[in-house]
Formats: sequence, C-alpha cells, structure tokens
Amino acid sequence: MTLWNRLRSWVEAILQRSRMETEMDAELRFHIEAFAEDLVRSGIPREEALRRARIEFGGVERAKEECRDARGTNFIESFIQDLRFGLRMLAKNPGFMAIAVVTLALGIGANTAIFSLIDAIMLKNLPVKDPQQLVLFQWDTHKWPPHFGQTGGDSKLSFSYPAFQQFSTQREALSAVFAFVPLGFSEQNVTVNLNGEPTLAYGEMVTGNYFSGLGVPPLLGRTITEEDEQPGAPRVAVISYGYWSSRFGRDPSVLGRVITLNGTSATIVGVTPSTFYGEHPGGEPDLWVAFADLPNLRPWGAKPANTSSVFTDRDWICLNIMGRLRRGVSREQAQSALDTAFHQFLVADWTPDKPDQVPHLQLAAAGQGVNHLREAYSQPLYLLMAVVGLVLLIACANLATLLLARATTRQREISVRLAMGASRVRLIRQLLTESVLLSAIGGAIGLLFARWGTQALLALMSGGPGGQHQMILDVKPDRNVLLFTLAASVLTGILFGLAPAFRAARLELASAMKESADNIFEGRDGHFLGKSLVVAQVAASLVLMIGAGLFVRSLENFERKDLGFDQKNLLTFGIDPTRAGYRGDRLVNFYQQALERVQGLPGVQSATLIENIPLSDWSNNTNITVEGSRLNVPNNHLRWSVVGPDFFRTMDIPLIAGRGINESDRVTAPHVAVVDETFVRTYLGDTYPLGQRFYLGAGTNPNPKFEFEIVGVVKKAELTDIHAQPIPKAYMSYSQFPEELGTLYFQVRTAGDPWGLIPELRDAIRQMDPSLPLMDVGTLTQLTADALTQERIFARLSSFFGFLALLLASIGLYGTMAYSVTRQTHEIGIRLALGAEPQDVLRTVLGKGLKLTLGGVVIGILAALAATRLISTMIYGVTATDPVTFIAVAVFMVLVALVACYVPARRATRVDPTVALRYQ
Amino acid sequence: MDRQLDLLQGTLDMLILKAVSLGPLHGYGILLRIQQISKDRLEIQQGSLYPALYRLEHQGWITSEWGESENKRKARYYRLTAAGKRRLQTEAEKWNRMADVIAGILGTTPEEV
Repeated sequence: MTLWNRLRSWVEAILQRSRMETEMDAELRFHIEAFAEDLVRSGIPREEALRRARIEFGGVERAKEECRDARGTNFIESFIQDLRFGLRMLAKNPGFMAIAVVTLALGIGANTAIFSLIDAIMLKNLPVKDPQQLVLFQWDTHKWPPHFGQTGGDSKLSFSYPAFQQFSTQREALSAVFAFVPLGFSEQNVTVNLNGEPTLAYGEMVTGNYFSGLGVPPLLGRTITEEDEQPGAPRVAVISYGYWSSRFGRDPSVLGRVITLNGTSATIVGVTPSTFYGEHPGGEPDLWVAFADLPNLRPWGAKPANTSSVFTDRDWICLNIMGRLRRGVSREQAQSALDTAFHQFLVADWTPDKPDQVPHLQLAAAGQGVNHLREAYSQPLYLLMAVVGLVLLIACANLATLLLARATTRQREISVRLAMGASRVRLIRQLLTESVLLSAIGGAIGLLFARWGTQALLALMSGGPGGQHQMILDVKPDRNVLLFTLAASVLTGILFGLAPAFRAARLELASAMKESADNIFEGRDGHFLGKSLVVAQVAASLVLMIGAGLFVRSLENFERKDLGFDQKNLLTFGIDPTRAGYRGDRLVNFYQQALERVQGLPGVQSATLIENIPLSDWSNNTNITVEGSRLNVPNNHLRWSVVGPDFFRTMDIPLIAGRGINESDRVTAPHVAVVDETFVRTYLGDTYPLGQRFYLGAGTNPNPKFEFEIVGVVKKAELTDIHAQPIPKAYMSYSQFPEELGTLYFQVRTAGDPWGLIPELRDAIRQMDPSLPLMDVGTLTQLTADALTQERIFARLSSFFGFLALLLASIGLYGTMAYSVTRQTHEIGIRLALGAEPQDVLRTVLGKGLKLTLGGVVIGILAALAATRLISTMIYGVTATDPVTFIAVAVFMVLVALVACYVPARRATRVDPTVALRYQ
Repeated sequence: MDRQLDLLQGTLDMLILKAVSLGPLHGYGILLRIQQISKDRLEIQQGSLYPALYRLEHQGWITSEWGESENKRKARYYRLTAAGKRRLQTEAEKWNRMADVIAGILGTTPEEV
C-alpha cells in the first residue's frame, strides 16, 4: 500500500513540480502569517509579530529543502542540476575535454566493436518469426550405424530424406518440420547461366515448407511451397536479396526470368527480404530450389540421378532438419516423441548387436539457426574482448590521473562549497555525474568508431574484398549493442571518477584554502594513488605488448613454415564438369584433355590435379587396414586424395623411393598409391614400403576397388591444414575412380606471374565446354595467406591495441612526472642554488620515472607469465613464456618510458633557481 | 545528536497522526493542537513540522486538500486516512509496550537482580 502511495506521489511530484512549489510556498507563508496573527492578538505590533514568527519558524529555505527531500524527488532535481553544472565545467576546459573524450571514444568504441561481433555471432537470433520455437535435429552420438556412408558437412546434423518423412508424420509436437541441404560441396556449388555467361553461386535445396516453417515472407513474388516439391512440378528458384542486388541490380522484372542451374532451367519466382540470410549465420545462400531429382543438380553427396533418388535413398544422409515447436510443447516433450519415431525408423533396416547401441535423437534449441561460427570464433572473440577490456582499464587509469590533476585546480571551488554546507555525499555525487557525463559523450562517439571498426574487422576476417570466404553478418547496432555501450560508458565513468571524487571530498577545509597545502593530487599519502595508477598502466600495457609480440612471432613462424611443397608461382582453380553432365569415362577423358590443353599453354611449366583446394582444411580421412603390418597402431587414419599425373613434380615434393602417379595408372591398371614418409614411419616401420598393400576401411572383406599397392614414397607435405601436425598421407590416381569423381582442382606451375595466365586458362576451358566457369581461382601464396587469416588478425589487432596501450601509459607517465616536477620546483631550485649540477637533477627525475616504470615492468612480467598461458594453444613456434619476447618488450618499454620522462626531466634542469625560490 | 533527532522524528509522526485523528487541520492548527492536548508541556520545533507532514503524506498515512481557513484564507488541510488510523494504533501500542518495558527496567531494585 505504502509503496504504491510513494510511487504515486513521486510521479505526481515530478510532473507538477512548479505547481507543488507554489503550493508549498503558500502553505508555509500561511503558517507564518497565522502565527503572526496570534502574536498580534496578544498585543504585539504587526511588524514585530511577523519578525518573531519568522525567527520562530527557522530557516524557510531549509524547511522547503527538507520538504522536497521528504517527497523523494530531490534526487532527480539535484541530478539534473549536476548535469547542467557538469556540462558547464567541461565546456570551460575544452582541451581537457577533447583529450578525455577521444581516449574514452577509442576505449569504449573498441569494446563496442568486439561486442557487436559477439552479438552477431553468438547472441542474435535468426530474423524469422518466433525463433525461440525453432529446434534442430541432431544425433546424440558420434557412433553411427556402420552401414552409413556419406554424411553431410556436420555428420551430427545429417539425416536421410526417408528419416525426414518419418519425422514429418509426427505433427502433435511440431507444427512444422523442414529440411535443407547445400547444392554441392563448395561455396560456389551451382553454375548459373545469366545472359549466356556462366557464373557461380551458392544454392540450397529445401523442402516445400522451409520458408513457411521458418516464417519468412517473400519480399517480391513468392517463396518455395509444397507444390514445387511434387513430381513433375515446374522448376522454380527463389533468390536472396543480396543476389538480387548484385546480379540483377534490384530489377523488379526479375520475377519470371528463366535461369539455368547446371544446365537445368528454372524460373525465378521470388526474392527474400534483405534481413534474411538463411539458417546459417555468416553465410548467405544466393538461391533456393525445391527438392527434386535433377540430373545435373544433385545436392551435396547425392549419387547420380540414374542410380538413386534423393527422396528414397536411405544411404544418402546429408539433410539438415529443423522444426518448430507447437505452442505449449516443450523441447523435451517433442524430443521424446520424435525419438520413438526415430528408433522405429532406424531398426527397420538395421539390427544392432545390442539394443542400447541405437543412437537417440536430440532436439537442440535453434533460435540462432545452425551456428558453426560460434565454435570457431568464441575463443578468439573472448580473447579480443579481454584485450580491449584491458585497454579500456588503462584508459580509465589515465583519465583518473587527469581528473586528479584537474581536481587540484578546482580545490578552491570545492572547499568553498564544502564550507557553505554541501554534504560530502552530494559533492561526490556531483563529481561522479561529471565523469559519467564525460564518459557518456565518449561512449556516443565511440559508437561511431565502433561501426567503422566492426566493418574493418569483418573485412579482415573475410580476407579482404576478394577473399574466398566472405563473412556476411548483420552487425548493425541493435538493442544489445546499445545497452552494452551505455553500460560500459556509465561503468567507465564511475570507475575513473570514483577515486578523484573521494579524494576531493576528503579535503581538510582549513588547509585546503591555503595555497601551499597538500592538494588533491597528492592527497595525504603523498602521491601514492597517482604513482600506483602509472605503475598499473605500465604493467597492463606490458602484458598487451608481450601478447602482441607472441602473436607476431607466431604468425612469422607460420608464414615461414616449410609445407613440403613449393608455393611460388603455383596457380589453382577448379571445375565441375558433372554439372554439365559428364560422368564416368567421359569425365576422366574431359579432365585428361583439359590437362593436356593447360600443359600446352605458353608460360605453363607443368600442371596436375588434386581433389580439394589446398590449405582449405578439406580432405578425405578414412580408417585403413595395412596388410601384414606388424605394428599395432591404435587409430588407423589416413588422409588421402586422388591426384593427377605428374603431381609430385608439379608441386615440387621430393620423391624418396619408387615412382609418382603417372598416366599408366588408368582405370584398367592395378590400383596404386604413393604414400608419404609419415605413413611409412607409422604403419610400416622398417619394412620395405614398396609393394606393401593397404585398403580403405576396416573389416575383413575389403572392396577391391579401394585396395592399393604402394609404388612410391614421398617426403611429407602439408596440403590441407597449415596448423596440423604431420599425419600419414596417401595419393591415388584420379583416373582409376571414374564413378566417384566430382570437382577437381588444377594446380598449374607457371614460369612467371601466375595471375597473368588466368585469361588463357579460362579460354582453354571455355573452348572445351563454355558452360564450365573456373571456380576458386587463386595462387598458393594467396591460399597460404588465407589459411593464416586468424593469426594475422590477432597479430595486427594485438599490435594495434598494444601500441595504443603503450601510448596511453606513456602519456600517463609523462603527465605524472611533469606534475611531480612542477610541484617540486621549489625544492629543485634550492638544490640548484646550492650547487647541484643540472645532470644530477636530470638523473634524479629520470630515476624517479625509471623506478615507476620498473615497478610496472616487474608486475607486468609476472602478470604476463600467468596470462599468456591462456593463449598457448593459439601460438606456434614460441612458448607462452618465451624469454626473448619478454625481455625484448620489457627493454622496449623502459626505453619508451625514458623518452616519456625526458621532457619533464629537461624542464627540471632548466629551473631558474631565483624564480623557484620565490615561488612558494 | 543524531539519535535524538531520530527519536523525535518517530514521536513527532505519532503526535501528528494523533492530532489529525481528532479532526482535519492545517499545519499551524496541528501545531496548536499538539501544544493544546499536551497541556503546553511539549514544544515542537516549527521548522520540522512541515517536512514531517510531507513525509507522512508521501507514505500515505495522511492526505491533504486545499480549503478555507477560519479567516477566509486558503490553507492546506490534512486528515487521517484509513491506513493512517491503523498505523496510529500500531505505533501507539508499540510506544506503550516500550514504555512498560523501560519502566520495568528503571524500577528494578537491587534485590530483584
């Protein structure tokens, strides 16, 4: 009851302030006059009566103030007062304000930029209807039934179409179940023919209720529906807003246009809204088509259309499935209902050895869609957040020092206010309001910095505008980001304003009025706060610089890593003739002829083929059985690839024994493989490798197609993952697997600059088949650089922030030393007058600065020893406690500090003793 | 110094509620009534009256409205609310109990310890 009353009277008090004031005034005046009248009635003259009444009442203003307090509105009014005063004080000192605001803008801006990324990658929901109702189907195990073959990109999320159909029949728990799968392995998985020109795009095949299940309305036209999935339905495609902008110039007449997808025509029937980016944050498909069995448009991993149908093949397990919960149904309820259906489905064509071996279905909350970015980026982002947080703390320390110095100049004003009766609490509140105001202004500008910074960061992550993996994220500041900036600004303001405010309020009144007294900056503990702030700044920037040093060296080590092959003048590009209908022997012939043509071009020294883009982290990994191996190896993995003839010569991988793959390794010849030295060491030990046999897979009945005889051994080479440790590798001949071939990537060793050869290469392929565009064109040097994108980002960012921190710390050090010299001018003057040499004074001042710096360095080193442990998994070729880096950074820090102290020290030597002695 | 003020504040609140319970009054009238019913033995500091009134109104124990005084002038009149009546009762009971306890303590003879 009383809370409600309080609230009501509070609100009333705010809204009708002036009326309340007049009423209060009238009421008090009435009281005094009534009292006066009583006095008059007892015989006292009116004038005297009024006077007495007023005295008896006491201070009217004071009473009014207490009345206002009683209403509880005082807080708001005094807050507004403080704000106004604060603004005036800041305006009086534009220089200080500029420095402070810029420092704050940089610090808060950096934090906001990183937080925007965290928000976009880890917090934002899909821009669809009721994302919290979405669920993602997944297996609860990594042990799949042994008869499973090819699975999707993330096998935990892969299902077959018949499984999807089983799930779709359970409608009690889920109002919608829909599925999707990319149209192919690469990011450019479909060839789109626009105006006769073959181009590449990224497309997905979706079930009819994909868009309705997600709740995405079309921007133009319509989206895919269940009718489009019916057999015999006309082929349609829906394009994304981004694709519509870049390829069609946002022309509304795009509806009804016919495009060809890998040779199949489809009509564009709709465009999705600009906010929709599909179900994977970070990747935006260009187009979507309905599920269908199309000869050249096979989704990821599907067998050719003449051998199986995507609708019925129980061994094609590449679909991702999502669902939408019905209102009132919990995820657990839906999960148990669907798990039963799943179990029935699995045991229909598989009898497990033990009944509890059957995997279960899990439904994961999918408000953020299928978010692989989170795992990839969460650790780096948190680390970056720690870095920018530390920079902000250094900025706070800097500002606290600035404010302390400034409070000193306002000593007079503060002491007068205290003498006039201001409570210390009020004073502290007012000073804090000033610093929060400063911080808020800095934060607002910081938001602008952050927008620019986030864009730059995204560009870095994408590897530049032409980079292979464009990161498309919605990083517009949303409510989370704005709240974060606001909170960061307020907290920062309180943090750096607290110490100076408390210091100021602790002033001893009598002594503060005197000129020569102890002042706010030094306080009663002789400068300790100021000094420890400087030491803290030095320590923190040392930690950041050491981190930066480690990252830079780590990047250098990676860049200089010997990958076992020659990356110079090596061009790579891929083609996918299966999109144009080539299969089996025709496909092998096509590649053979293409290779010959490419090899015949002037400027080409040699050319070969490989299955995956080098250094793209994509590879085949299988368990193998090595026949007659006497070594007992726990995990029999093998990383393998089919390659073209002349592979090792083109790539410049040295041959240790036997021969490389050549033209004689045709489909009719015995299946052979070339292994690397790691394979020999791991599986064969001392056994002579040539002639040994192995096969892919475990078990005792191997498929003879996948049985190989070793005909050569090469030195180890890293062609997949630049970060990986050496593992056994093998290379087979591509022409021995005509039924399994898909996209192959040409590796072309050029005599001169590889880029110059691209037009001729395009021509060469176009002459063979004009419908095949070149995919993923690049040089190995560029691919190596791309593979190190994360390392490069860290090296650059940590260096940038490290130097920023160093700059702030130096400014702090300079300021403190300058102030100290000014305060001690008198003393210095005396010493000079008594015969001290200027060098002595210089040395003393430098010595003081050095002491502070060394203190910071020692603390910084200790902190860094603990902190760098956190990044030990991210650095390469240096230990987390690498002494060279630590010492180099420490020495550098000391040098910079000496420079920062030099100017004040010089000023100290120039003190004119006669002037100093007069200066009290 | 502080503690004395607190006690007075609580007591003053109770006295005001009592004064107002006998009929609606303006601020000056409350002052006079308290003096009257205390038989002039209590003197209230005039300056602390109005903050107390505003506080009590803010908490909902009394409510105010503008009316006409005896000599035809505009004045703000306060009266007790239902909640205020209950509050007065509770506070009075507490006060009486406290007075009993203190009296008991002060009246303890050496033999009773």
